[in-house]
Amino acid sequence: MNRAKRSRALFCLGFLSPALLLFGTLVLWPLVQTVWLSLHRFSGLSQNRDFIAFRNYETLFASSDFLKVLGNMSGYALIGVPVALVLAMVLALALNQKSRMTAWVMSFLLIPQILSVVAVASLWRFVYLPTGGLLAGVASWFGVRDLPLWLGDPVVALPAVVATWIWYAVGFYALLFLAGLQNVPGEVQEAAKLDGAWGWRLFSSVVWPLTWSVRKVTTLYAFIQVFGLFGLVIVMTEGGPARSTESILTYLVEVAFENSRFGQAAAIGVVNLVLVLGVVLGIGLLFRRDPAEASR
Amino acid sequence: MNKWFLVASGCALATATFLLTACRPEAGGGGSGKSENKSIEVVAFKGGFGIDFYESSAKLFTDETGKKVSVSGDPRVWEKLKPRFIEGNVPDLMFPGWGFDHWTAASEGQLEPLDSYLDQPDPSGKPWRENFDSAALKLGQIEGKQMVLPYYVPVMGWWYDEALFKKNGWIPPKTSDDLLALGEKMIAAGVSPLTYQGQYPDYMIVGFLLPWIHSAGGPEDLNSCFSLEPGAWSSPSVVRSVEFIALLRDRGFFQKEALALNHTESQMQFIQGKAAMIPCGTWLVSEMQKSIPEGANYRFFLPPVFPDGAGDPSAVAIKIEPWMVPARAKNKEGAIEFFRFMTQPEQAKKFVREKGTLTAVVGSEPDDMPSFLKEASQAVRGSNQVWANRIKDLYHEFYKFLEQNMTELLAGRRTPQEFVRLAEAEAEKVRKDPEIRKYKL
Repeated sequence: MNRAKRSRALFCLGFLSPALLLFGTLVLWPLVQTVWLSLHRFSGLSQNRDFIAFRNYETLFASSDFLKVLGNMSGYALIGVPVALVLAMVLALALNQKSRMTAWVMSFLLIPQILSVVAVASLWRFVYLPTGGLLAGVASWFGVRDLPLWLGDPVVALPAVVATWIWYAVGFYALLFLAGLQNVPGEVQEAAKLDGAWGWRLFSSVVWPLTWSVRKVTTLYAFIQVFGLFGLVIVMTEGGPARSTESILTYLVEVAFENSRFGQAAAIGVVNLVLVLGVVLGIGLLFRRDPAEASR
Repeated sequence: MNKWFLVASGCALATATFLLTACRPEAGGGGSGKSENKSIEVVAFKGGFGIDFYESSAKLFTDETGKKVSVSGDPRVWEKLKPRFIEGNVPDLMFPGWGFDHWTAASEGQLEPLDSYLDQPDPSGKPWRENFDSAALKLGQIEGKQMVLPYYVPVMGWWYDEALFKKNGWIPPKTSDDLLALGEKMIAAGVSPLTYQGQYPDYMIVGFLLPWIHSAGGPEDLNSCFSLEPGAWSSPSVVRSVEFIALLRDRGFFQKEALALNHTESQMQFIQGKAAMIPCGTWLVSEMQKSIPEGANYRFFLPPVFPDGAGDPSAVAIKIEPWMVPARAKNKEGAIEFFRFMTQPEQAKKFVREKGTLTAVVGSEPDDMPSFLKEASQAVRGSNQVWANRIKDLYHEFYKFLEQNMTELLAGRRTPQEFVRLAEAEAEKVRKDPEIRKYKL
């Protein structure tokens, strides 16, 4: 490397170093420590640590509780994310109709995002409350008495929490989609209309491909958000009834703090990371080619 | 280029300096424990009873002895204590609250054994041990060693509203037969006989299952269950207790919404008269104080027993909220001296008056206690068999399973036979798991 090139490399490194240093210290190093900790038996109450290689992982995957939690996570991800995104897209399409009400409706949809997760969870506990709750009250006006015990029935509790998450998240994703829709060039849409593409045809052949990047980011973010579910579950159900709503992070906290198995909790954290990375890679593959670019 | 190179180097240097400064040991305010002075640091869980009593006790103690005591606490104080244990910078005396796994801490040598301190004389000259109720003190022992000490002692039982019972001519049930007969009358009157804190199955285990195991099989059977002895969770007393719970479920004795309610929601149902009885500890009245209507008079009683059971009908369950001295505390003597001060009967009496709960200190009950506390106190003092739910603290994973099993049973998704079979299988799993420490009671 000649002197000019070396100097340029040092110059770039100098500007990158603050970000690299912060990333290395606050993200990479704790990550390495977590992986290392997951190979130990460690109670979190003293400095005693025994190296046990992969035994924490073996215990985890032999545990019916952990498998149940993984099942719950697929419920949250495979029901919650698609429903939230479809609803958000429908809302965004409706709001893209340049009405005077758009700003008002958008502000209304974003109210859940302004509230804290604890407030949202408490609010929805009241909605689902079987005695004097909102749903029970509305149903009784119509003479319906035997509603499910939303948060008390292991069969319906997960869908009930998923519905709350959708209510919480949909406005935010609608906002992202709306931004994407508003970036679709008007002249392209006009040209398509002149060519006879209206309604579904206009949406599927013009709008949908041109919102590729925002759909990719939104889908990624929604999955990452679901794998980080914690506050909503803790306040609404604490993971119950009978672990039916337990998320991977609420389980991690239980294992670390209640069971004093910090090594195993670290292993859960690593599994969660791998799952999220897998989902990110999967979405990357799904969205690997911009259809608008590909058709050129 | 050179100018920009200098700017880039400056950026790198500034970031490195920031990080190194942030990581120095003094940062974050956690270094105060390194000081060599002999003040006494007390850290306490700030739950429903707050920490104001400990603060005022510390002030009185300082006035009397000239020794400085600092008291701090918050509602999740155990989370702050764990890193301090790893670092070795522990307080002198602590009451870490429900999230702290004190038996694991004890098994790792992190807690100071307290027997020698208990044998020392208190200011009145008698061994300090005698200041404590012996049954409550015993709950702080593991494998013969006193590792934690009790202070306030909730008593577990059932509750009813005397006004509601008088109005309907009902009498609190003493036996399972009484309960079955009374429950039918209550249902006929449009009141659910029982509600419970469904989101927290611990209440149903301590309120229904364990007292009935004790009643059916006596303390031996209950201790076998706590020790996870082979066959204990499928013993006839467990089968009988679980079948009785299923019978109550099938007869509609439990408020059907209860599974979806948390502790305050279900207690509200009880207060509103939608359910006639509820299992709860003696904290019920102070916890629901703001919602209690005029004219209500909540009374404490022991869960009904099986009339032909092997257990003593006077058996009563208590809980302790443990205080402890870390093994690496810098001022253990000071910590003990302060806690000894708190456990003087006059000081403990103030706690009972101010907080409305019983303590483990003998002679701490003032004459002007509320009636429900008197009933709870009489139940404890008049009992030959005071017991506590030990399995919750000793075998967390098993207990979590038991809670799920209980929820499924009450939801009608599990038969008593399945409950018992699964509980025994889970106990067997724990027995065989070398990772889980086993305790002898």
